[in-house]
Amino acid sequence: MGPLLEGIRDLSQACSLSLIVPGLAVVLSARNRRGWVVGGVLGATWFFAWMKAAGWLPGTPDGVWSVVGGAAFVGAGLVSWRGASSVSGVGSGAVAGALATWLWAPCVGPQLAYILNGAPEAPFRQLVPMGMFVLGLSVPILFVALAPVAIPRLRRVLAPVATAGMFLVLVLGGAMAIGWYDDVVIQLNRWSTPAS
Amino acid sequence: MRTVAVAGLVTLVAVTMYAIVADSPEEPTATAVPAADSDTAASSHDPSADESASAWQDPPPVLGEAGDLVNLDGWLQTDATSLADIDAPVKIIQFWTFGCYNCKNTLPYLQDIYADYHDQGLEIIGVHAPEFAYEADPANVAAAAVELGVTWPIALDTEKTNFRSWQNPRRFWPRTFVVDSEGNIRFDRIGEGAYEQLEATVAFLIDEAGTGA
Repeated sequence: MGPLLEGIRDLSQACSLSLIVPGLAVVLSARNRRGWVVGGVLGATWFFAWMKAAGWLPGTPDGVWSVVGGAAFVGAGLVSWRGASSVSGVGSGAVAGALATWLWAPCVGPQLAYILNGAPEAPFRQLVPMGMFVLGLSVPILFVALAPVAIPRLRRVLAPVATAGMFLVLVLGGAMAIGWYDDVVIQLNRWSTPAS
Repeated sequence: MRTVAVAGLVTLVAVTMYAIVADSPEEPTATAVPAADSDTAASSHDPSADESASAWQDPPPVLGEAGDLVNLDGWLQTDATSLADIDAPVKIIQFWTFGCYNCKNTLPYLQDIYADYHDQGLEIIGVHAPEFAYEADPANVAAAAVELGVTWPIALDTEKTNFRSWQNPRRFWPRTFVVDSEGNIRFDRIGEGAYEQLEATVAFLIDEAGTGA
Protein backbone atom coordinates (compact mmCIF):
# COMPACT_ATOMS: atom_id res chain seq x y z
CA MET A 1 0.00 0.00 0.00
CA GLY A 2 2.89 2.38 0.71
CA PRO A 3 3.89 3.08 -2.90
CA LEU A 4 0.23 3.46 -3.88
CA LEU A 5 -0.42 6.02 -1.15
CA GLU A 6 2.78 7.92 -1.90
CA GLY A 7 1.79 8.01 -5.57
CA ILE A 8 -1.54 9.60 -4.67
CA ARG A 9 0.13 12.09 -2.35
CA ASP A 10 2.67 13.00 -5.02
CA LEU A 11 -0.12 14.25 -7.26
CA SER A 12 0.33 17.56 -5.45
CA GLN A 13 3.89 17.90 -6.75
CA ALA A 14 4.71 19.39 -10.10
CA CYS A 15 7.70 17.12 -10.59
CA SER A 16 5.41 14.12 -10.25
CA LEU A 17 2.65 15.64 -12.36
CA SER A 18 5.04 15.61 -15.28
CA LEU A 19 4.66 11.83 -15.31
CA ILE A 20 0.91 11.88 -15.53
CA VAL A 21 -0.26 15.05 -17.29
CA PRO A 22 0.60 13.89 -20.85
CA GLY A 23 -1.30 10.65 -20.32
CA LEU A 24 -4.25 12.53 -18.86
CA ALA A 25 -4.32 14.85 -21.87
CA VAL A 26 -4.35 11.96 -24.33
CA VAL A 27 -7.07 10.18 -22.35
CA LEU A 28 -9.16 13.34 -22.28
CA SER A 29 -8.73 13.75 -26.03
CA ALA A 30 -10.14 10.27 -26.73
CA ARG A 31 -13.65 10.58 -28.13
CA ASN A 32 -14.23 6.87 -27.74
CA ARG A 33 -12.38 3.68 -26.77
CA ARG A 34 -11.11 5.61 -23.79
CA GLY A 35 -10.50 2.43 -21.78
CA TRP A 36 -7.95 1.22 -24.32
CA VAL A 37 -6.14 4.54 -24.20
CA VAL A 38 -6.04 4.35 -20.41
CA GLY A 39 -4.63 0.83 -20.61
CA GLY A 40 -1.90 2.01 -22.97
CA VAL A 41 -1.01 4.97 -20.77
CA LEU A 42 -0.86 2.97 -17.55
CA GLY A 43 0.99 0.03 -19.04
CA ALA A 44 3.62 2.17 -20.75
CA THR A 45 4.07 4.50 -17.79
CA TRP A 46 4.54 1.54 -15.46
CA PHE A 47 6.93 -0.28 -17.78
CA PHE A 48 9.06 2.69 -18.75
CA ALA A 49 9.16 4.15 -15.22
CA TRP A 50 10.44 0.79 -14.07
CA MET A 51 12.98 0.74 -16.91
CA LYS A 52 14.10 4.21 -15.89
CA ALA A 53 14.42 3.15 -12.26
CA ALA A 54 16.59 0.23 -13.34
CA GLY A 55 18.83 2.58 -15.33
CA TRP A 56 17.84 1.10 -18.67
CA LEU A 57 16.49 4.29 -20.21
CA PRO A 58 18.58 7.19 -21.49
CA GLY A 59 18.38 10.60 -19.84
CA THR A 60 15.83 13.25 -20.63
CA PRO A 61 15.58 14.36 -24.25
CA ASP A 62 16.99 17.61 -25.53
CA GLY A 63 17.73 19.22 -28.86
CA VAL A 64 16.24 17.46 -31.82
CA TRP A 65 14.86 14.71 -29.60
CA SER A 66 12.64 17.25 -27.87
CA VAL A 67 11.13 18.18 -31.21
CA VAL A 68 10.68 14.52 -32.14
CA GLY A 69 9.08 13.84 -28.76
CA GLY A 70 6.70 16.80 -29.07
CA ALA A 71 5.67 15.73 -32.56
CA ALA A 72 5.14 12.12 -31.45
CA PHE A 73 3.00 13.30 -28.57
CA VAL A 74 0.78 15.42 -30.82
CA GLY A 75 0.53 12.46 -33.18
CA ALA A 76 -0.55 10.23 -30.31
CA GLY A 77 -3.17 12.79 -29.33
CA LEU A 78 -4.56 12.90 -32.87
CA VAL A 79 -4.74 9.12 -33.05
CA SER A 80 -6.49 9.02 -29.69
CA TRP A 81 -8.91 11.74 -30.78
CA ARG A 82 -9.85 9.86 -33.95
CA GLY A 83 -10.31 6.70 -31.89
CA ALA A 84 -10.43 4.33 -34.84
CA SER A 85 -9.62 1.07 -33.07
CA SER A 86 -8.60 -0.50 -29.81
CA VAL A 87 -5.07 -0.99 -31.15
CA SER A 88 -4.71 2.69 -32.01
CA GLY A 89 -6.12 3.54 -28.59
CA VAL A 90 -3.57 1.40 -26.78
CA GLY A 91 -0.81 2.66 -29.06
CA SER A 92 -1.57 6.33 -28.57
CA GLY A 93 -1.76 5.85 -24.82
CA ALA A 94 1.50 3.93 -24.81
CA VAL A 95 3.30 6.66 -26.75
CA ALA A 96 2.05 9.28 -24.29
CA GLY A 97 3.07 7.17 -21.30
CA ALA A 98 6.51 6.46 -22.71
CA LEU A 99 7.17 10.12 -23.52
CA ALA A 100 6.01 11.26 -20.10
CA THR A 101 8.35 8.79 -18.45
CA TRP A 102 11.23 9.92 -20.60
CA LEU A 103 10.66 13.52 -19.46
CA TRP A 104 10.22 12.58 -15.81
CA ALA A 105 12.87 13.70 -13.32
CA PRO A 106 11.08 13.01 -10.06
CA CYS A 107 11.25 14.41 -6.59
CA VAL A 108 11.74 11.29 -4.53
CA GLY A 109 9.83 10.44 -1.39
CA PRO A 110 10.59 7.54 0.94
CA GLN A 111 8.72 4.84 -0.98
CA LEU A 112 9.94 5.87 -4.40
CA ALA A 113 13.43 6.19 -2.92
CA TYR A 114 13.30 2.57 -1.86
CA ILE A 115 12.25 1.56 -5.37
CA LEU A 116 14.85 3.68 -7.11
CA ASN A 117 17.70 2.71 -4.83
CA GLY A 118 16.85 -0.96 -5.12
CA ALA A 119 15.96 -1.22 -8.80
CA PRO A 120 19.45 -1.23 -10.34
CA GLU A 121 20.50 -4.21 -8.23
CA ALA A 122 17.23 -6.14 -8.15
CA PRO A 123 15.00 -4.68 -10.86
CA PHE A 124 12.31 -7.33 -10.89
CA ARG A 125 11.74 -6.97 -7.15
CA GLN A 126 10.75 -3.35 -7.78
CA LEU A 127 8.39 -4.04 -10.68
CA VAL A 128 5.23 -4.37 -8.60
CA PRO A 129 6.03 -1.49 -6.20
CA MET A 130 6.68 0.77 -9.17
CA GLY A 131 3.35 -0.33 -10.63
CA MET A 132 1.62 0.58 -7.39
CA PHE A 133 3.30 3.99 -7.34
CA VAL A 134 2.25 4.67 -10.94
CA LEU A 135 -1.27 3.47 -10.14
CA GLY A 136 -1.44 5.96 -7.30
CA LEU A 137 -0.31 8.77 -9.55
CA SER A 138 -2.85 7.66 -12.14
CA VAL A 139 -5.93 8.26 -10.00
CA PRO A 140 -7.03 11.27 -12.12
CA ILE A 141 -6.71 9.20 -15.30
CA LEU A 142 -8.74 6.38 -13.81
CA PHE A 143 -11.32 8.86 -12.61
CA VAL A 144 -11.64 10.36 -16.09
CA ALA A 145 -12.01 6.87 -17.55
CA LEU A 146 -14.58 5.62 -15.05
CA ALA A 147 -16.72 8.70 -14.53
CA PRO A 148 -18.58 8.68 -17.88
CA VAL A 149 -19.38 4.98 -17.42
CA ALA A 150 -20.54 5.37 -13.84
CA ILE A 151 -22.47 8.58 -14.48
CA PRO A 152 -24.07 8.33 -17.95
CA ARG A 153 -25.14 11.96 -17.87
CA LEU A 154 -21.47 12.92 -18.22
CA ARG A 155 -21.35 11.40 -21.70
CA ARG A 156 -23.05 14.51 -23.02
CA VAL A 157 -19.91 16.51 -22.32
CA LEU A 158 -17.45 14.00 -23.74
CA ALA A 159 -17.19 15.78 -27.10
CA PRO A 160 -16.21 19.19 -25.69
CA VAL A 161 -13.95 17.45 -23.16
CA ALA A 162 -12.21 15.64 -26.00
CA THR A 163 -11.72 18.95 -27.81
CA ALA A 164 -10.27 20.48 -24.65
CA GLY A 165 -8.05 17.42 -24.24
CA MET A 166 -6.80 17.80 -27.80
CA PHE A 167 -6.05 21.45 -27.10
CA LEU A 168 -4.05 20.38 -24.05
CA VAL A 169 -2.20 17.83 -26.19
CA LEU A 170 -1.24 20.57 -28.65
CA VAL A 171 -0.05 22.85 -25.85
CA LEU A 172 1.99 20.12 -24.16
CA GLY A 173 3.38 18.84 -27.47
CA GLY A 174 4.46 22.35 -28.44
CA ALA A 175 5.99 22.87 -24.99
CA MET A 176 7.88 19.58 -25.25
CA ALA A 177 9.21 20.55 -28.66
CA ILE A 178 10.57 23.93 -27.56
CA GLY A 179 11.72 22.85 -24.11
CA TRP A 180 9.01 24.60 -22.08
CA TYR A 181 7.34 21.47 -20.84
CA ASP A 182 8.49 21.85 -17.22
CA ASP A 183 7.13 25.38 -17.11
CA VAL A 184 3.75 24.23 -18.39
CA VAL A 185 3.60 21.56 -15.69
CA ILE A 186 4.45 24.00 -12.90
CA GLN A 187 1.78 26.35 -14.19
CA LEU A 188 -0.75 23.52 -14.19
CA ASN A 189 0.31 22.71 -10.66
CA ARG A 190 -0.15 26.31 -9.55
CA TRP A 191 -3.62 26.44 -11.05
CA SER A 192 -4.57 23.22 -9.32
CA THR A 193 -3.11 24.14 -5.92
CA PRO A 194 -5.12 26.46 -3.66
CA ALA A 195 -3.24 29.53 -2.53
CA SER A 196 -2.12 29.19 1.05
CA MET B 1 -20.53 -2.44 -16.51
CA ARG B 2 -21.94 0.62 -14.87
CA THR B 3 -21.94 -1.06 -11.49
CA VAL B 4 -18.28 -1.94 -11.87
CA ALA B 5 -17.47 1.64 -12.83
CA VAL B 6 -19.38 3.01 -9.85
CA ALA B 7 -17.55 0.60 -7.56
CA GLY B 8 -14.28 1.65 -9.13
CA LEU B 9 -15.04 5.33 -8.62
CA VAL B 10 -16.01 4.78 -4.99
CA THR B 11 -12.80 2.83 -4.43
CA LEU B 12 -10.75 5.59 -6.03
CA VAL B 13 -12.33 8.23 -3.84
CA ALA B 14 -11.92 6.12 -0.72
CA VAL B 15 -8.27 5.30 -1.36
CA THR B 16 -7.52 8.91 -2.24
CA MET B 17 -9.15 10.16 0.95
CA TYR B 18 -7.22 7.59 2.95
CA ALA B 19 -3.95 8.67 1.31
CA ILE B 20 -4.67 12.27 2.24
CA VAL B 21 -5.58 11.68 5.87
CA ALA B 22 -3.18 8.84 6.65
CA ASP B 23 0.30 9.46 7.98
CA SER B 24 2.98 9.91 5.38
CA PRO B 25 4.15 6.54 4.16
CA GLU B 26 7.56 5.73 5.46
CA GLU B 27 10.26 3.93 3.63
CA PRO B 28 9.90 0.16 3.85
CA THR B 29 11.95 -1.24 6.68
CA ALA B 30 13.21 -4.25 4.81
CA THR B 31 16.68 -5.32 5.69
CA ALA B 32 17.97 -5.45 2.15
CA VAL B 33 20.95 -3.28 1.38
CA PRO B 34 19.91 -0.58 -1.06
CA ALA B 35 21.39 -1.34 -4.38
CA ALA B 36 24.60 -0.52 -6.08
CA ASP B 37 23.99 2.02 -8.77
CA SER B 38 25.62 1.17 -12.01
CA ASP B 39 25.22 4.56 -13.59
CA THR B 40 27.58 6.43 -11.28
CA ALA B 41 29.51 3.58 -9.82
CA ALA B 42 27.94 4.79 -6.64
CA SER B 43 25.10 3.57 -4.56
CA SER B 44 23.09 3.82 -1.45
CA HIS B 45 24.55 1.58 1.16
CA ASP B 46 23.67 1.00 4.69
CA PRO B 47 26.16 0.07 7.36
CA SER B 48 25.14 -3.44 8.19
CA ALA B 49 22.21 -4.46 6.05
CA ASP B 50 20.00 -3.07 8.75
CA GLU B 51 18.14 0.17 8.18
CA SER B 52 18.30 0.98 11.85
CA ALA B 53 22.02 0.46 12.14
CA SER B 54 23.98 3.42 13.34
CA ALA B 55 27.57 2.38 12.75
CA TRP B 56 29.52 0.81 9.96
CA GLN B 57 30.84 -2.66 10.61
CA ASP B 58 33.32 -2.20 7.79
CA PRO B 59 34.55 0.95 6.10
CA PRO B 60 31.90 2.34 3.76
CA PRO B 61 32.86 1.17 0.28
CA VAL B 62 34.43 3.41 -2.30
CA LEU B 63 31.69 3.89 -4.87
CA GLY B 64 33.60 5.90 -7.39
CA GLU B 65 35.52 9.08 -7.77
CA ALA B 66 33.65 12.30 -7.17
CA GLY B 67 33.56 14.76 -10.02
CA ASP B 68 34.14 18.48 -9.84
CA LEU B 69 31.46 21.16 -9.80
CA VAL B 70 31.72 23.09 -13.04
CA ASN B 71 29.83 25.71 -15.01
CA LEU B 72 28.25 27.07 -11.84
CA ASP B 73 26.23 30.24 -11.72
CA GLY B 74 27.99 31.21 -8.49
CA TRP B 75 28.02 30.35 -4.81
CA LEU B 76 25.94 31.52 -1.87
CA GLN B 77 26.82 31.59 1.81
CA THR B 78 30.55 31.04 1.24
CA ASP B 79 33.63 32.76 -0.12
CA ALA B 80 34.50 29.65 -2.08
CA THR B 81 34.50 29.82 -5.84
CA SER B 82 35.08 26.12 -6.51
CA LEU B 83 34.68 22.78 -4.80
CA ALA B 84 38.44 22.70 -4.19
CA ASP B 85 38.11 25.85 -2.09
CA ILE B 86 35.93 23.99 0.42
CA ASP B 87 38.49 22.93 2.97
CA ALA B 88 36.86 19.99 4.69
CA PRO B 89 37.94 16.35 4.87
CA VAL B 90 34.36 15.12 4.63
CA LYS B 91 31.77 16.66 2.34
CA ILE B 92 28.09 15.98 1.90
CA ILE B 93 27.10 17.05 -1.57
CA GLN B 94 23.36 17.20 -2.06
CA PHE B 95 21.60 18.00 -5.30
CA TRP B 96 18.39 19.79 -4.40
CA THR B 97 16.03 22.54 -5.36
CA PHE B 98 14.13 24.64 -2.88
CA GLY B 99 10.73 23.98 -4.42
CA CYS B 100 11.07 20.23 -4.06
CA TYR B 101 8.99 18.84 -1.22
CA ASN B 102 11.15 15.76 -0.77
CA CYS B 103 14.32 17.86 -0.73
CA LYS B 104 12.84 19.99 2.04
CA ASN B 105 12.04 16.86 4.02
CA THR B 106 15.73 15.97 4.14
CA LEU B 107 16.82 19.34 5.52
CA PRO B 108 16.06 18.81 9.23
CA TYR B 109 18.21 15.70 9.17
CA LEU B 110 21.04 17.48 7.36
CA GLN B 111 20.79 20.32 9.84
CA ASP B 112 21.18 17.89 12.74
CA ILE B 113 24.19 16.23 11.15
CA TYR B 114 25.69 19.63 10.32
CA ALA B 115 25.28 20.77 13.90
CA ASP B 116 26.98 17.63 15.21
CA TYR B 117 29.84 17.29 12.74
CA HIS B 118 30.61 20.65 11.13
CA ASP B 119 33.16 21.50 13.82
CA GLN B 120 34.81 18.13 13.29
CA GLY B 121 35.46 18.61 9.60
CA LEU B 122 32.17 18.15 7.82
CA GLU B 123 30.97 20.56 5.20
CA ILE B 124 27.72 20.33 3.32
CA ILE B 125 27.47 21.70 -0.18
CA GLY B 126 23.94 22.13 -1.43
CA VAL B 127 24.12 22.04 -5.20
CA HIS B 128 20.99 23.89 -6.19
CA ALA B 129 19.68 22.51 -9.47
CA PRO B 130 16.42 24.29 -10.23
CA GLU B 131 13.54 22.39 -11.73
CA PHE B 132 11.48 25.42 -12.71
CA ALA B 133 12.23 28.95 -13.81
CA TYR B 134 11.32 30.64 -10.53
CA GLU B 135 13.79 28.38 -8.72
CA ALA B 136 16.64 29.59 -10.94
CA ASP B 137 16.67 33.15 -9.56
CA PRO B 138 19.59 33.40 -7.08
CA ALA B 139 17.60 35.88 -4.99
CA ASN B 140 14.83 33.32 -4.59
CA VAL B 141 17.39 30.65 -3.66
CA ALA B 142 18.94 32.94 -1.04
CA ALA B 143 15.54 33.78 0.42
CA ALA B 144 14.54 30.12 0.50
CA ALA B 145 17.81 29.19 2.21
CA VAL B 146 17.03 31.63 5.01
CA GLU B 147 13.46 30.41 5.28
CA LEU B 148 14.46 26.74 5.30
CA GLY B 149 17.39 27.17 7.67
CA VAL B 150 20.01 26.15 5.14
CA THR B 151 23.22 27.65 6.47
CA TRP B 152 25.81 25.72 4.50
CA PRO B 153 27.38 26.75 1.18
CA ILE B 154 25.15 26.59 -1.87
CA ALA B 155 26.50 26.07 -5.36
CA LEU B 156 24.18 27.42 -8.04
CA ASP B 157 23.93 24.77 -10.73
CA THR B 158 21.43 26.79 -12.70
CA GLU B 159 22.16 25.09 -16.01
CA LYS B 160 22.03 21.70 -14.24
CA THR B 161 25.38 20.77 -15.75
CA ASN B 162 26.48 19.00 -12.58
CA PHE B 163 23.01 17.64 -11.82
CA ARG B 164 23.30 15.78 -15.12
CA SER B 165 26.97 14.81 -15.00
CA TRP B 166 26.84 13.47 -11.44
CA GLN B 167 23.63 11.56 -12.15
CA ASN B 168 23.84 9.97 -15.53
CA PRO B 169 21.43 8.71 -16.81
CA ARG B 170 19.10 8.60 -13.78
CA ARG B 171 18.42 12.08 -12.38
CA PHE B 172 16.50 12.74 -9.22
CA TRP B 173 15.78 15.34 -6.56
CA PRO B 174 17.18 15.06 -3.96
CA ARG B 175 20.36 13.04 -4.33
CA THR B 176 22.93 12.97 -1.58
CA PHE B 177 26.58 11.97 -1.82
CA VAL B 178 29.29 11.81 0.82
CA VAL B 179 32.82 12.45 -0.42
CA ASP B 180 35.88 11.56 1.63
CA SER B 181 39.19 13.36 1.97
CA GLU B 182 40.58 11.49 -1.03
CA GLY B 183 37.76 12.66 -3.26
CA ASN B 184 35.99 9.31 -3.32
CA ILE B 185 32.25 8.86 -3.08
CA ARG B 186 31.48 6.78 0.01
CA PHE B 187 27.69 7.17 0.17
CA ASP B 188 25.01 7.80 -2.42
CA ARG B 189 21.31 8.12 -1.76
CA ILE B 190 18.44 8.85 -4.11
CA GLY B 191 15.56 10.62 -2.39
CA GLU B 192 14.60 10.81 1.23
CA GLY B 193 15.66 8.43 3.97
CA ALA B 194 18.76 6.50 5.08
CA TYR B 195 19.63 9.30 7.49
CA GLU B 196 21.23 6.99 10.02
CA GLN B 197 23.42 5.50 7.35
CA LEU B 198 24.32 8.99 6.22
CA GLU B 199 25.32 10.00 9.72
CA ALA B 200 27.20 6.74 10.26
CA THR B 201 29.15 7.35 7.07
CA VAL B 202 30.02 10.89 8.09
CA ALA B 203 31.08 9.74 11.56
CA PHE B 204 33.24 6.97 10.14
CA LEU B 205 34.96 9.24 7.62
CA ILE B 206 35.61 11.93 10.19
CA ASP B 207 37.12 9.30 12.42
CA GLU B 208 39.14 8.03 9.48
CA ALA B 209 40.37 11.54 8.73
CA GLY B 210 41.34 12.00 12.34
CA THR B 211 39.53 15.29 12.74
CA GLY B 212 36.88 14.08 15.14
CA ALA B 213 36.37 15.26 18.67
